[in-house]
Amino acid sequence: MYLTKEEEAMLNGEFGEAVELAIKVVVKVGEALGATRLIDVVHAHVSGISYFNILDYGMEFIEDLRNKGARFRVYTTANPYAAITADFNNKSFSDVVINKQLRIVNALREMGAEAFTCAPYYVRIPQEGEHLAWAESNAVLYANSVCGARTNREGGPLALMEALIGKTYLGGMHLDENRVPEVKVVIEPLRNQLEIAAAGYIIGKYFPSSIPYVEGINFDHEHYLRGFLAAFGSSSNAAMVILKGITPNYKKLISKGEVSKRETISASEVREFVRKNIKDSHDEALYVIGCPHLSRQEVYDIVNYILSRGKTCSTNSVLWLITQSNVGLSSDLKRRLLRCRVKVYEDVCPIVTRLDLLGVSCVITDSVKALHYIPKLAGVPAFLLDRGSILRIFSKGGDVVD
Amino acid sequence: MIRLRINPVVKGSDCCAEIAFSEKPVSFLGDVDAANGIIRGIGRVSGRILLIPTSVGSTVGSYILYALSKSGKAPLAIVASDVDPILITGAIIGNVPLYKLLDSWESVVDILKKGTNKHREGCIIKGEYLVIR
Repeated sequence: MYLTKEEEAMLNGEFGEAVELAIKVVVKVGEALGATRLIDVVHAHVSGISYFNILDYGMEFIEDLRNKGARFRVYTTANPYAAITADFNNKSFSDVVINKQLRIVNALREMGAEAFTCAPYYVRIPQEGEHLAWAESNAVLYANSVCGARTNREGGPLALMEALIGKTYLGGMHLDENRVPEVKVVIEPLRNQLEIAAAGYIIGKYFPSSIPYVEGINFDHEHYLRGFLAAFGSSSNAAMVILKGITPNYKKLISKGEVSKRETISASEVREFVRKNIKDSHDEALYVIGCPHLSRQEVYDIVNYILSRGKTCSTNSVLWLITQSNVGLSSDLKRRLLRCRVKVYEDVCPIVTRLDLLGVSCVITDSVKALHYIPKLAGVPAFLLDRGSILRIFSKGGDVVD
Repeated sequence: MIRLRINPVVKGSDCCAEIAFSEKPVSFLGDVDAANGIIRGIGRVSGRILLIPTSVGSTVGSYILYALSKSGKAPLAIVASDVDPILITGAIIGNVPLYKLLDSWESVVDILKKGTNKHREGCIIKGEYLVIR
């Protein structure tokens, strides 16, 4: 691989031990993937920071880097961490778990992590053509498919290394020739949020490693689009979806691609998926909205909806709204929501949290991504319910924010 | 005795050790007991040459190789048919020598599965060959 003088110096340890290790990793990975040089990135996003996933090993590695004086050389955000701030029926995590998770978060903060969210595109909006080094599949898909920025779907530890040098290898999604569709998927008209997300999941099941060109979906709301991409990312390894009318320059991209297969996904197949996974009500469930993290607009829409209908609700269930602290919801509003058994948690993620340890018996969510991962990672069964119906349970009913 | 061609990705010194072999890709997150150096389906890997097709699963699997090293239970070397980013990242941060197998994986599987001797010894020679006895 060709290296600049600065990169050579990094590799020779002139920028410290952590940078030397980091560039060695990025160069070796790049070489294995056939890259000929490195490129600068403007934003790195690190995943794999939940204590439940990385345990003492990951914690010690990250602390080790911090102790060696490592600092991110580029704007860096990180994924949300385990929901150690949460409790369920007055049960919370042990001090040991809480402390170890905080050690990971503090080490990342000291190295320069600016935010903890799975929606880094709301913290710093990627511009078309920008090079990024992002882990976290929903964010990668949003950056490539909606913003027209360029990032591979990096692994968590690799993105951490890239953050330490502010560079990635020139390959994969950074190159025009790889940003083209390989299959065309036409979706029959769908009716709502859950169906659209389910369609994303089904496309990924059909084509787990191809970039699809997708036609036929009307994303009435931004969160429909994000739910679709997040669901696709949980069943596919692809880093991009080309969406008619949404992906920048989509016409140019589809004219360059060689589409080898076409598939039509029927509305009945999508509805069958939703029907099989839906649960209308459950008296002691944990309801979760916010996978991916809610935007500021979504948070305020939901809060307005619930508080304008006020009153203590009759359910024994609890609703968690998951977002990032930059949204800036006041503690007064949070207190008022609590009366409706609605809790707002910031900078955390229930998927990477062992909810079984909190005594949660089942999760009901409007996220197909959460439906996929919660049984595997959080240790409890999960079901679907659309956002409007969930919000009705926690308020007096009436017209619903969609 | 067979001689397989390999290419160093993370170079180490020549060594001889028992081969720990898996026909299927290894998921480091979930299949590995890092404190004891044991991989489910393979057994003990510490002090051995780990011969696998590739790794699969969560990308935080890289940290497990680091953990194996920290606990002194890492393989002496890893030889993989497909050196993926998880494996490369893990090998470098864990300082475990890693080699890419240049010969076909199918031929390796054939040879190793044919033998009745379950305890095969291998040597890495000049970083260019894996010789299996």
